[in-house]
Amino acid sequence: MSSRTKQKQEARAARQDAERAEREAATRRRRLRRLGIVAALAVALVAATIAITQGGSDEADGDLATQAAEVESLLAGIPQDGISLGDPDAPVVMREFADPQCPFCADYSTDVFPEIVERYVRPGELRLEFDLLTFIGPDSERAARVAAAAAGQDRMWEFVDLLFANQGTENSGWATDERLREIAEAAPGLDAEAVFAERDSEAVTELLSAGQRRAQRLGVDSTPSFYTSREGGPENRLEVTALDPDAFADELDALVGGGPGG
Amino acid sequence: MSERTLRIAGLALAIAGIAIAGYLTWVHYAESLPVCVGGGGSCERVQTSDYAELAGVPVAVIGLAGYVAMLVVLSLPGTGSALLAAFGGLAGAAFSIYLTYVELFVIEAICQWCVANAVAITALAAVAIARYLQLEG
Repeated sequence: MSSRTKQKQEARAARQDAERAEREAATRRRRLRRLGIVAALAVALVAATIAITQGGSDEADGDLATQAAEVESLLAGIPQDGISLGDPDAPVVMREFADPQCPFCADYSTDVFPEIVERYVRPGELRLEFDLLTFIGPDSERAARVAAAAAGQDRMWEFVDLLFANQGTENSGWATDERLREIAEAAPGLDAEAVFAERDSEAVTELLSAGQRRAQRLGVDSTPSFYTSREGGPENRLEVTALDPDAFADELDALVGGGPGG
Repeated sequence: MSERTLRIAGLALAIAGIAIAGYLTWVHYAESLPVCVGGGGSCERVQTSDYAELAGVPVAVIGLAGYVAMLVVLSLPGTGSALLAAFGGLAGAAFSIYLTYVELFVIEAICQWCVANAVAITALAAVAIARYLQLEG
C-alpha cells in the first residue's frame, strides 16, 4: 500500500471518528433536552396534584368563613370573660368539660350549643363556663392551648365553636399549627398572631391546669360532662338523656325557673 | 455502569418499592398500623393523617400503582420506554419530596416507611435517568 493511500485511509478514519463523536454528542444533547422537558412535566404534574389538594382546602376555608359568620351572629352582643359566656349576674351557671378531640363534644357544639345560647344565655338566664381537658392526645393539647390563649382575648367561644366544627380524626395529627392558625384567623374578633404568641405562656398553662383541677374535684370521668349551679351554690352534675336541645331543655327549664337543681 | 446493570438495578428498586407500598396498602385496608421501629406513634400519625389520602385514594395505593407501572416500563426495550421510566421516576421523586415536606413541617412526624419509600423512588429516578442517557441509538 502506498503512503498516499495510507494517508487517505487514516484521514477517512479520523473523519469518521469525528463524525461519530459529533453524532454521539448531538444525541446526548438531544436526550438531555428531552430529560429537561420530562423533568418539567413531572414537576408540573406533581404541582397540579398538590394544587388540586390545596383547592380542597380552599373549599374548606369557604366553609370556615360561613361557620365564622354563623358563630359571629350567634354570639353577637353576649358578654364574654375568659372561659365564661353570658351575663355575669345570670342566676344559673352551666359548666362544660370538653376535650377538643372528643367527637360527642363536637356533636354538642353543633347540635345543642346554639339552641342553649338563644334560649337561655342571650336572655341572661344562664351563663356558660368551659373547661378544656386534654386527655385524648397531643392534638388535644395543641388545640386546647390555642383555645385557652383565645380566652385571654375573651374570644374563646368563637374559636372553640369553629374548632369543633372542623374537628379531625382523633390523634391523626390534624391539629397542626397551620390548621389551628386558619381556624384562629377565621374566628371573629380574635387576634390570631397574639394567640399564637401567648399559647405557651404561664397564663395559658394555669388556665388549663385550673380546669383539670376542677374536673378532678368534681370527679369528671368522661366528656362532654356538664355541671350546673344556681346563685353560687354547689355544682351538680347535669344528667341528660341525649345530646339534643330538648333533653337539655328538660333539665335547664327547671333550673332557670328557680328549681332546686343547682 | 452498563445499560443492563442499570436496568436490573431499576427493576430491583421497583420491586422494593412494590414491597413497601404493598405493605402500607395492606395496613390501610386491614385498618391496622405499620410496624414502626422505636414506636412513638409517628407512623400512626402519618398514616392516619389527612395527607394519607389524595382525592379519597390512599397514597399507598397510588405508590403501589406507580411502582407496578415502573416495573412494566423498565421491562420494555427502547429509548421511548426508558424516557417514560425517567418521567415516572422524576414524578415519583417530586411527589415524595412534597410528602416529606408535609411530614416534617405539617404533620411534624416522620414515618420510617415513608423515608424508605423516598430513598427507593429517588434512587429509581436516578437509575432511570442514567439508563436513558446511556442507551444507544
